[in-house]
Amino acid sequence: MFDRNKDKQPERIETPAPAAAPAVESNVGAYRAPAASSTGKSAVLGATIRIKGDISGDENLLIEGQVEGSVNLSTHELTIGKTGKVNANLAARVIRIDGEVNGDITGKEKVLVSSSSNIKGTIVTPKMTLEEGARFKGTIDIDPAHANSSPAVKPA
Amino acid sequence: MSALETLPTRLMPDLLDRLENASPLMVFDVGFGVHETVEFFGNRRCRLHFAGLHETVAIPPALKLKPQFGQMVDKAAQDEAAYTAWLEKFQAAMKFEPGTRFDLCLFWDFCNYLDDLALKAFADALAPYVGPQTLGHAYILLKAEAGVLNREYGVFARDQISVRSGQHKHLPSYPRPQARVTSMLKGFAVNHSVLRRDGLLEIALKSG
Repeated sequence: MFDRNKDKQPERIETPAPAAAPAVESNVGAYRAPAASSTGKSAVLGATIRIKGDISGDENLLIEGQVEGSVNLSTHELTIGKTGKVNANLAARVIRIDGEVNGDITGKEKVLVSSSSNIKGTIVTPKMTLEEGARFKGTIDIDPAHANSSPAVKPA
Repeated sequence: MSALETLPTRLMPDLLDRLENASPLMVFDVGFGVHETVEFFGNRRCRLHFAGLHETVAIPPALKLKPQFGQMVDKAAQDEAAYTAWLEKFQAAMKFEPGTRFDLCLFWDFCNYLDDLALKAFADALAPYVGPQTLGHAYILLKAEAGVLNREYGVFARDQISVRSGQHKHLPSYPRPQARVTSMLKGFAVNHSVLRRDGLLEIALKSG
């Protein structure tokens, strides 16, 4: 449904408030959803979903599809799944990368990079974990003293 | 070698001691970032640059040679073209923010995969980011010894280097005496060196 408008100007997509249903959900059972947030909500962008624009929200998000723009989940967890291809700057409390990211990554608390990931960009976070077997090319900015600063994100 | 192994190091503790107060600690690693290195430096304020340069040198750059006349080979022109091509390749691979000065350069065994012209070009490309206090660490291949090639290194602990199989077994190697390597590493001088049992020469470098 997002492909239909892909040639239009980038739009801002807000995931709903905690009481509402997730904004985008596709074949949830086929994907490993990120851990539920304190609100109990998490959304999934399925492997066939492509989005151009800015994504923000108040729940966890798993991206298995393609995103171009920016993703900002300031107090929640963001997972780029194995099939996820993201050309965007990312900001979230915790970010896990299993797929492809071309953009800067700001994890307010932590960034986890798995061996299946492919990242081009700078990672800024107070705590960084590169999983056993992962090989990373790029820059990592680590400042353990700044675990509580708010991440800011701009479009890639 | 497949699983993770560790090598004891007598030189790394001294390098790290000297950088105890650097904040943020600016580290340049010619290889890929691996779990151990990120874990080791992750408890302090730092900026880690992982260049993955083995991948960069896997495909030699195309030379821009001037047209030749007859059968004469202009070796100097060929060398100049090779140096320029390598320099451009390394400069493209090592674009850091203006004003960047590294505190620690982890060369590991990368120099052993570069011929003389490529090594000189690499050193020249890195030179703008080397400051008066920059330190370095490298393993030098003194003689052809396949058992110590194609490895990926990391910092496991202050006195332990992690090593596992690399993904660059196709790269040719260039054994050299220490003096020849360091003469081409512009801006660095050898501070200490230790000949390891496996034949590699471990060297600690300081700017100078």
